[in-house]
Amino acid sequence: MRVLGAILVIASSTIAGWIYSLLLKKRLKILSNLIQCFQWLETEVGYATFPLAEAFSRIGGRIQEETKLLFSGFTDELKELQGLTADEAWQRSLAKCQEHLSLHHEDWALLENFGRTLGNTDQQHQLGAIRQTLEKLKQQEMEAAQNREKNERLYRYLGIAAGALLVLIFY
Amino acid sequence: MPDVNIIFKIAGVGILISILNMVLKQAGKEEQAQMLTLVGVVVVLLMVIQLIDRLFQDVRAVFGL
Repeated sequence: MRVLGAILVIASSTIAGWIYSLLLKKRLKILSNLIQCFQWLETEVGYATFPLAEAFSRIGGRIQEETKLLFSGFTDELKELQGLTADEAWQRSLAKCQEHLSLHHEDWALLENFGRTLGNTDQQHQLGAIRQTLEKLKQQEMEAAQNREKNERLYRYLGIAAGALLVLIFY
Repeated sequence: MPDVNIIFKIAGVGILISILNMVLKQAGKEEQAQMLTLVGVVVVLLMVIQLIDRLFQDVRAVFGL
């Protein structure tokens, strides 16, 4: 019974460490996905000159699962015909995605700020806002990559060692 | 053999703490590493204090104090 408890404690703390290190990896992946989305958005708005809703739904159709929620959520909100502005629809879509995407506070703030410029300027300014967001997203991605490199192994070791320590002390 | 057990326990805590210390230092978290070492020392002291207590009582018993 005692051994079983010890194994359970070690296993759960190891898993917790793994999950934390996976979250770091996931944030990086989502950020690079977002960068790709915004690059597409830049072409859709700048070159193909699609309306926002259509541009977003085209991007939502191309991208993978998690980031898709953000873009297809936006078009869904717009299509519901509740008289939402593009900004409001974007904020709602963000709020819905908040629990599905493992992003940090700064990343959400960045995306929220992007929404403020959405759909209330002309094409040139819209493009400028997209490029600015893209630039900042790239910075965040770089920072996330550094963060991951530094902390991924740390979290794993920390999980295992914390479990082992607990067992040792209370055994 | 409770005495041997406690020695192994202390040794285990020491090894784990030193591993964690190395990992934390590698990740550039020197302050946390220091705090962890301190915590390790305190935990081991809490274990050792029972033994010291027993030693004192034994000495008292020997001299009949």
